[in-house]
Formats: sequence, C-alpha cells, structure tokens
Amino acid sequence: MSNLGSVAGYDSSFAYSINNNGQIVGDSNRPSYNPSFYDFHATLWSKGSTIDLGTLGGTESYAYSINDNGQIVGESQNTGNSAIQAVIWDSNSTSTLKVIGNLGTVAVDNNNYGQVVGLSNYPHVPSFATLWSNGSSVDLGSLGGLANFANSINDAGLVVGFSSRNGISDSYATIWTNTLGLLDLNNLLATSLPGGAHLNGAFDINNVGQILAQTNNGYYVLTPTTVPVPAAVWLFGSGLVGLLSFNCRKNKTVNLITA
Amino acid sequence: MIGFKKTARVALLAGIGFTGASSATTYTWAQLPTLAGYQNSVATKLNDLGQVVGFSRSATMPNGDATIHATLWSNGSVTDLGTLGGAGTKSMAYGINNAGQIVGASNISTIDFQINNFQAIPRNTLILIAFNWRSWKFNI
Repeated sequence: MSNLGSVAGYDSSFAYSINNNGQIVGDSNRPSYNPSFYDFHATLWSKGSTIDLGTLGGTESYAYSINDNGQIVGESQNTGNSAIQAVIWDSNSTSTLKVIGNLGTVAVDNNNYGQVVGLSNYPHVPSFATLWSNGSSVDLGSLGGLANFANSINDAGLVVGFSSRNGISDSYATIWTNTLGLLDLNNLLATSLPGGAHLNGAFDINNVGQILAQTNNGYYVLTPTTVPVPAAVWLFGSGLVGLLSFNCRKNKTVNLITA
Repeated sequence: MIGFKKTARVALLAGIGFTGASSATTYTWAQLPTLAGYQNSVATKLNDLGQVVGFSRSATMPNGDATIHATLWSNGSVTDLGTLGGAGTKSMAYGINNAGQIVGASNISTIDFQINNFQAIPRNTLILIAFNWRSWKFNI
C-alpha cells in the first residue's frame, strides 16, 4: 500500500476510481480536521504527478470516475457556490474543464464510449437518473417514486442505480437499457434472495454485465444467465457498425445482455 | 404515456448509435461474505474479472468508534487490505481496475474527519440521500 498524497497545500485526499492505465482520480481536501469547512478539489494522479483539476469557480469539485481514455467526470460548484454541475475533464489537457449538465447535476460514472451517468435536480426531489450521451441528456425514468439515481454505466450502455416506488422513503435496485427502459432488478432474479430480502440499490455494472447490488443485509454480485454476445456481432445485426466506427476501441470486447 | 416515452427514447438513442439489450436477462446471485472478525461490510466497485472492493466495519466499541478496513472479495476469498498505519484505524477501497490495482483512502491520524464521519450500512434511507449526495454515494 502506498500513500498517493494530495495536491500541494492540501492535507488529505480520497481516491475514487482507477482506470486500466493506472490513472487515478478523487479529491484533495483542507484542512482535514475541520468538518465545518470544506475545500475539496478534484484531483488526478497520473504518471507520477498529482494534479489539481480545479473548479468552475466555486469552492469544491470532485472527480468520481476516469475511463480508459482519460476522460474524468464529477461535479463542481459554480461561481458563488449557488449550485453544482456535472463536469468532465480531459486528463490529457487538464485545463479543459467542461460543463456537461445543467445546474444541480452530478456525474458519477462514465464508460469508454464517453457516455456519462448521474443525477439531475440535486439537492431537490424528485431527483432524476440521467444519461448524457453524444450531447443529449436522457431522463432514465422512475419506478413511480421521487428518488431516482444512476450509479454506473458499462460499455454496452447498460445503466444501474436505484429508484423509489413511493415518495422517497424506499428504494429498489434498477437496470436501464435503451430498449426496455427502467427495470426493477428484483424482478430479474433467477431465484429469490434469502429471507425475503430485496435489492435496494445497484452500485456498479462491469463489462461482463455483472452487477454489484445491496440489500438491507449485505451485498450481492449478480451474474447474467444469458451468454453475452460480443458487441461486434450485435452491431452487425443492428446495422449500426458504421455509426460506431468513430469510437471503436482497440481490442475492446463489449458484452451485453440479450436474448 | 409510458409507452410513448419509451418509444421516443429508443428512437433517439438508436439514432446516435447507442447500444443496449434487446430483452432482459435473468441474474443469479452470490452474497459477499463478511470479513472474519468484522460485523458488516460495504461493497463499492467490481472490475471486469468480478473482483469486488469495499470495506468492512467492526462492532462499535465502547467509545463509539469502530475499526474500518478496506476489503477485497476475489475468487471466493475475502482479504483485509489493511491501512497505511500510523494512528489511523480506518481504510476504505473505492476503485479497482482490471489489473487488480485498488484505490481508496486510509486515515493516518485520528483527526481525519472524512473517514471518522463514516456511517455504517444500511443506507437505504433516501431522505438523507436526496440532501447529501456524498453521504449516499460514498458512505462517508
């Protein structure tokens, strides 16, 4: 175990994500002993350097995910600290902090195709699980309640999170696909969970389609029962091969659930 | 109404080359065991090999504190990842890549508020979540 340290002048740090090239993102904070004063700056650790990613003009910024292309997503307060906004940084050009969402948005995960998920309307209710893709913003829907969150997107474009069914007082793990919309993961389990437990949140989905989910009594890894089909095969069938040529990545196999 | 919205969304996404599933699969499940000697755990991330990281929390001590250690679940075994040492007794893992490299945080003094403010699971109360994004997302 090694200490990454923090941005110069800061005295604590938190690392949230590491990509397959060893680049790490998180935040640096000062002073760490005063919980009533926050000064968090999104931070990149890359190739031996610790880099302050800056803010949109406000006090705080946070970097939550870095993909294999070095694209970093997170949130930053705007000038005057009146609101937060989902933002993206490029690790190859750290001065290019860009806004990708409206006021009250947070970006929490991105995939290797540049698609980003997070939430909108923070800190109000209802919160909207949101996908930003190719310049468009998509509301991922609801199970009927007012609290909707998107936590993770994989390279197949599958999104997991959770949503409430009644107000904001309960939650159910969700998966979203572009063809099926938002689904309650509890309805997709091959067998029931022990003790009548239900999945109340899904926090990560990997490129094999496995999902990390939570109950009130512990965490579960969900594995799809359908054999994944490589993206190239599926794309040929869908006629989208040409459209995707601009963002094809080397040696990258994209799996997705299908029937 | 719902059907209309879904149709519109699919049309939009198909037009921009979006990929996705044509129908839902089902899922088998496996529960992550608790690290020996600890009371419960929080899992935060899994990589493409199915390795999971997070942290484990001990029973609350008489002074109200608890030991929290970053934890790895891999191929059926549970590993205590330890801490950076010093006066800190808490570490948490939040990221793992496909090479098995793990990142997170470890306190190195007892005044590190980020970790001392940690709240144990369960975190199913969305009222709190809606008004404190980071408490929900990162359990800190």
